[in-house]
Amino acid sequence: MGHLEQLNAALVGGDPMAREAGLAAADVAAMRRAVVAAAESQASASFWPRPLFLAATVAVTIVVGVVLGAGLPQRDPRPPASRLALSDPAAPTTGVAERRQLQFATPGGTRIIWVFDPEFNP
Amino acid sequence: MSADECPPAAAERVGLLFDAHHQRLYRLARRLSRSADDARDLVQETFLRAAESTRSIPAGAPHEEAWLVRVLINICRDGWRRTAVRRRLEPLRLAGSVTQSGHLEETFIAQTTIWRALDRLPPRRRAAVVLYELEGKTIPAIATLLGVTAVTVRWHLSRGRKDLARIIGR
Repeated sequence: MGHLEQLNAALVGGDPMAREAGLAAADVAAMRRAVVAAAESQASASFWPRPLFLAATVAVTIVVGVVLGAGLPQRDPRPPASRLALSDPAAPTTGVAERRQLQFATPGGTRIIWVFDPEFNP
Repeated sequence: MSADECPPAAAERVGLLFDAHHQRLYRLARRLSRSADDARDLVQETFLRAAESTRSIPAGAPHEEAWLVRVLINICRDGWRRTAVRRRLEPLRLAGSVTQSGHLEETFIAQTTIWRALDRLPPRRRAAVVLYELEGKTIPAIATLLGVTAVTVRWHLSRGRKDLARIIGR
């Protein structure tokens, strides 16, 4: 008998699977339960949004916010009208040197008129 | 398996995977390990790794089997590396004394010796020898299972046989 045949014969003759019963049914059931439980817990853990999904959600939210914000009516950038009169109704609205006035009354009844010089340059 | 697979589907898939492959995997594990307990641990560890990464298991029975076999052999390799130093220092003893003559005793000693010698082979080489000599797999089939080329399988078989034949020939 050659070496290869001897080797094969020794391997087959000493094969533990030839003389052992294999996995017991109870072992198989216990192993299966453990494996399925591990898969369930693992899947539950990974079922929630992952970082990439979270980042995509944040990006989409920002884009939607910007688009909706652009569609809203613009607010008047000028300061709101107050009880103070800020213009000279008699003055022409056109022209380079437009003069502006600020008129108000003190609690004592004195009426004050400030005239702004557009060419004033301290 | 899709990325948004819900937990019951993943568990069901792993359960089906276990039902389909545990016996086959145990046979291989038993032939790759020293004891039935080691083989049982090996199979359980393999399926636990499958449970941890169900998405990476390819679909289809042959691909699933190959994936599981490779995981099992990788686990063997981890254990093999851990015990490498002890194995080097431990001389290979003949299984029993040869004081009794007779064919049966010689056969028993040869068988036990060869299986002890198998422990010294690297797991992939041992798997190639076991799959070829005991399970009758073809070289291309072994290559697919182990995820290597047919040339590599032939090389492992040749080296493995030489190592084992040298031990038998002592």
